[in-house]
Amino acid sequence: MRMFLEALNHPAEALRVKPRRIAWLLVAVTITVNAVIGPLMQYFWGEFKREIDIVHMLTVALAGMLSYLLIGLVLWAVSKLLGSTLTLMNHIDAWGITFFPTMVCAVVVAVTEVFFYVFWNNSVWGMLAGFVFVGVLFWKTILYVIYLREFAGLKGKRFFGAFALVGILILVLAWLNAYAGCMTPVL
Amino acid sequence: MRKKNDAVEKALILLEQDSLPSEQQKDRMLAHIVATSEAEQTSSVVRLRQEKMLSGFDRLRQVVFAYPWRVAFAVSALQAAILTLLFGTQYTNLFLAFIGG
Repeated sequence: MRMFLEALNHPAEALRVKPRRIAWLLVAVTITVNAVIGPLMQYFWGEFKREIDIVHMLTVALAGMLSYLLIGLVLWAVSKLLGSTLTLMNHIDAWGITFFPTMVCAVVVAVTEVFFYVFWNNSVWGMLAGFVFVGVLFWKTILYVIYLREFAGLKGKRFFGAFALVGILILVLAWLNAYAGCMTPVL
Repeated sequence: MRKKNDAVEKALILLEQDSLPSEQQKDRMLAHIVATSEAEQTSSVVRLRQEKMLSGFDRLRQVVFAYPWRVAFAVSALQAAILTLLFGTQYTNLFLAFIGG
């Protein structure tokens, strides 16, 4: 728990220590919310009674894992190109530390999907959803910058190059995630 | 017997004198201490100056890196409040359309 809070509050230090278990746990929770808990909530409380589709759940879970491996590969390739010495495994162990906001986003998406009518045309609840959603986006962006600068060690021009290049690839991967049925991109 | 004692006494006095630093050594020690304290002082002055020279952008970056989620949600709270006041549900429905697509 202490390690967990440490990773939450001091991501730069956490990235240096590389607590693999926390990183992978965060990714696992994100994938589970995406693939299993979302559809289950939809089944029990959703407006349209969608049947539980085990095959679809498994496909989404597999797509999530594949997506995580792909983003690791992208980060490794781009960092390597710009002169970082980190290995592919280093990236796969560490990138999960940036999954706090992704996990929150997965929960927000699941809740707003199922209780759509609460948030629609309601300025108070809608404002709350907007606050959390945009906050999560900012948070992830900050963690992305910290990751590239402090963990991959890219400064100056290299940093901006990596930021743009990985950013474009993240957009592509996010589109692929949506295509595969991952409501929250596992990136 | 007494002669032997004298010899031991002399030897002890000699030993004591030997262990004390000579004038030259004392001078060198003093010079060393003065030099170190001077270096320490100048380095702290330089550090202070450097800290003052940190630009506003660098300070902002330090704060953002030190408190990532607090900064993110603070900025988000501002945008949510202001834009909801301006555009009402038109703005909030935007996310739902995007998330729930």
